[in-house]
Amino acid sequence: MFEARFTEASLLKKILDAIKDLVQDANFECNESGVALQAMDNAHVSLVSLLLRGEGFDLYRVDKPESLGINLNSMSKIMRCAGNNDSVTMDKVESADTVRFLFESPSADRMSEFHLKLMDIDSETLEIPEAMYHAEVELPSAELRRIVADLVTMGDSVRVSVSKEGVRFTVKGDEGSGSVILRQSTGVDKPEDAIHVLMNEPVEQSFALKYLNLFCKAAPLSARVQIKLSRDAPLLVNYAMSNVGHLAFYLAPKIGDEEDEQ
Amino acid sequence: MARGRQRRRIVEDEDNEEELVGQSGLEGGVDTEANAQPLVAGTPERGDKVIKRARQADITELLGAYSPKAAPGGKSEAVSSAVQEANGSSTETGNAAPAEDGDVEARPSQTHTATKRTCRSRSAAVGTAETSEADDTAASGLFTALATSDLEPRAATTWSAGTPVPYAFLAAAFERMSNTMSRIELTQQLCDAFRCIMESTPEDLLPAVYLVINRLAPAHEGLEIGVGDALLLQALAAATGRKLALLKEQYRQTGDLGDVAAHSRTTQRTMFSTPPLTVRGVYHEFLCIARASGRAMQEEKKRRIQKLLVSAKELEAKFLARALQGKLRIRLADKTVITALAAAFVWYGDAARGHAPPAAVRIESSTLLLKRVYNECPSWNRIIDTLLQLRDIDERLAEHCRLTPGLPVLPMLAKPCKSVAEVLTRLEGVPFSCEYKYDGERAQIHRVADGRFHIYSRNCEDHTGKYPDLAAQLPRALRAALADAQFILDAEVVAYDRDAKRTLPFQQIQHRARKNVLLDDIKTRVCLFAFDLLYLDGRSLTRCPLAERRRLLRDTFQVVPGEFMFAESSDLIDGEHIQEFMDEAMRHSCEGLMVKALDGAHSTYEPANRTQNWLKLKKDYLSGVGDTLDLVPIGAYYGRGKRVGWFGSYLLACYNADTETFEAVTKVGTGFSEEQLAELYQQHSTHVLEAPRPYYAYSEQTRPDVWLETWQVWEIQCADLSLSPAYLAGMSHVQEGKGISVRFPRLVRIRNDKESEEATTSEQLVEMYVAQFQHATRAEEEEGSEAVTEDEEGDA
Repeated sequence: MFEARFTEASLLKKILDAIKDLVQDANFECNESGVALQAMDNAHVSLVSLLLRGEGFDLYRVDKPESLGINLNSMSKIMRCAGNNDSVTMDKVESADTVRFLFESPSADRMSEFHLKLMDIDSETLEIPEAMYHAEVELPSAELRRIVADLVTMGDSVRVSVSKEGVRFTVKGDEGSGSVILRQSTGVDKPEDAIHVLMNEPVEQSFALKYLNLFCKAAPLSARVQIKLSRDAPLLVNYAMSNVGHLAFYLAPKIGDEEDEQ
Repeated sequence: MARGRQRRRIVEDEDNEEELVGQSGLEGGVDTEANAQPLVAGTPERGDKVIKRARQADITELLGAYSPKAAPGGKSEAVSSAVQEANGSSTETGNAAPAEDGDVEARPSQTHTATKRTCRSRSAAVGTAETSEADDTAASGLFTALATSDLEPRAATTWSAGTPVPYAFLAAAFERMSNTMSRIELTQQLCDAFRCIMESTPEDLLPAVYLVINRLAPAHEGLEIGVGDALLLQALAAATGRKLALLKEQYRQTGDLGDVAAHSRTTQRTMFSTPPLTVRGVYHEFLCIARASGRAMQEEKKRRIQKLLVSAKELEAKFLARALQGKLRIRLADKTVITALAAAFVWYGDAARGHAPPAAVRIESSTLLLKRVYNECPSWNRIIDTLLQLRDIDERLAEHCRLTPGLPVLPMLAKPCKSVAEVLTRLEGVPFSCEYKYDGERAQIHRVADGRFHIYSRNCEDHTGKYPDLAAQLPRALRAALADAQFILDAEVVAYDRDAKRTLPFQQIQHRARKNVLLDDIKTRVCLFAFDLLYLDGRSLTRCPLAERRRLLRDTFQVVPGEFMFAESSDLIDGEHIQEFMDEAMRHSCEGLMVKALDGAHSTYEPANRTQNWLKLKKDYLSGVGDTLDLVPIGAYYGRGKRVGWFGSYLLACYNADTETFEAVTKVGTGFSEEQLAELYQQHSTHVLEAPRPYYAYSEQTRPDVWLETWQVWEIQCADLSLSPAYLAGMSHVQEGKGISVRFPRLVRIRNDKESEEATTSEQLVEMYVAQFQHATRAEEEEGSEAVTEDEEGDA
């Protein structure tokens, strides 16, 4: 038996919106400590790592660890049937080949129930390298979203460089080029707008904007986002959800000069 | 890709093969079970040419009876004479006439010699699949080579026994094969690859075979990958992180998506290194891609392709891209695959029994067996399954894999004939029968165990859904005593006016949907004109003479006017009657006549073969060349004068199935209406290439103003075929340094029902060219030598 209840459906909706364009099918690994999902996109360029801690749920119960293979698009369709303030209960009995979604309105006068077929998804266990990051940047998630949304219109990839002056995002495209620089700021008036740049060593790497753009769909989950970089290792973009867990994205860098791409 | 298009006729002609084997000059297979009578043919100039001939006891036993040794510089001729000699079953001496002036002269005269002799020997021109025999004849060197190998399959495999075969192994083999010019080596390499797979991981053999032939399932299942260039390019861009525009540009320059994929150095790292691709994994993904359906179909296909490409290393990417495009370009005709597979199983079986290397004759007879079995049971699933279970290849295969209702075979085809006189010459001394050739659609109708009917097209496509009316009519045509009979019927579906009791032009039913036709929606009725029965209640009839098959056909079915009739036939044999019957057929709006050997060893049903035992005599053939040609425009020339602003003429090519190239045949500038010129200009302007594809064969003097993609097929009428150094179709097959071209070509119509790979092949052109010479010589001979004519008449 597996049973988990969220007070608000909106959280689950936001999570799905943030990952369903990157990953089509994924296993939700449920055990005593919580629900985890790890999956790569088709091109194996990025990795999604979701953790929902058991204590973040309203109610959480796992008798035996379960792996729920789910098509995220189908799950997203079902979640759209829930009101934002509805509570959501997911449950599954051991032998069942479906998972049940139960939506209950706050006033408890409306209940709906959906069953989603589970799939067999073979997934490799992915060992995420715990790299020593050369640089870490923490900024408002809306800010990152804005930068990426602006730059993606100019080109395919962005060069991210962290130096003493701050973090710089540079784009080159057919029509021209551009860059945005963010400097360390404490956000005296509004701490939530603060930009923290922590640099052990200068780093500079290129990434495909297409993926960053998809990552930024997670912005509604958290006001703040953390970016960690190191040379020749994947970039980490982490959205921490207070008390609940986190949604982290890893992105492998682009390689080589793009001289042949010009 | 058009359905069933990839299915090539196996037994038909591979001129390159002749050429290559001829060059090797290897001898072998002389002492086989066929009654070989060595006979020297040749003039002092060609003294080292030896042609051994055999009695045509059973044509299928014949393989290996010949051993032509090619004279230096005269190889194609030696082979060609072997072709001709093989037609006859005469045990007499055949004299190859001296060649006064090169090969062109030599060929017809030899042909002519052979013809005379065969006329006397009564079995005459009724060779079964003689072209293939000639190939096989010349191919004895191939079998000797296949029997010699020091491959240690276990040592040669990089993977451990029982584990999935890496796709990289197959890709590396493909690459080697694509760099191999010799057909013998090509076959050896393929055989070695098969042996490695079957010794280590036999369950991967079937997917490997499908990947080699670049198909997914038997033709009637209609499974095709169906991936367009655009989608492939998108997937490649997504998989490598490269810019789509750049990939497109490279594709335009190189013309080969495989090369673009192979050289797409990725600009994007991946999170983790991906597990290596396996043969079964790739085949499985291909199946999923082919089966993808529904709204998100394109998206799913792209996703799967991207996944494959991400895991692919250089060579793997190259052949994945080519396979998805449907063009492997490793020159693997079905025949080569069958030979390699048969040889591999001979080795496999012998290894199991601890034998020494197998004899060439065993490989030879096994190849023939496999070919025959494949023609009657065209399902690799069933054949490979059986072979792996037998762990050997012998007659038991034929017992397990037989003609089966529900598994369509390619129909037997007829050779075009130009005149009644030609029919008479070709079928001299053989009882034959003439049938109306109806203007309809060929249909093979199967009745399976559960009583349902399946209707298959000429290409084994499932047309059951196209003709619900036929399925409803058929039970009435079965005689009461045989109401539950299982059968395979060969017939023509013809549009029919039941009130006027006459057939209608084919166009009336041509536009029926391919499936899901509803009985109530049908306006034009069809009538089935049956002419052959291949299978009846557990018994394959293909080995029976036509006379018996026809008798069984009439015993099983009865005429239901307007629904089910027997093709009108006449067993008259003299020329005047044939002409009369032909005229009668024309009055009944038929296309012409089919003339078929009626009795004896040559009147069997040969699935997938185009033989001399069936001839077609069409009205259009009676003038001009035997058949119209289906050619592909590959280039165009800007028009002048009245045609300024359009393309004034086009460069046309035939298809060489063996090398997968398009070979230029002729320019055409006549037969166009003004509207057509304008329309064609508009259409083709969107298919212009910047450079010719690497698989276009042309000479500089015919270089067109613009190059075109191969997307259309034109039916071309011409006066006759000629030799020309400027065109590369069938280059050097007839005469060194010359290809085949046509004279006075004119456009008849655009063949929208054909894909470019279904165009006339260069082999067919060579054959037609040779045939043309035969007739010319024969006609002269008939005028010039009364003695021979009398002789022939006496025999008839």
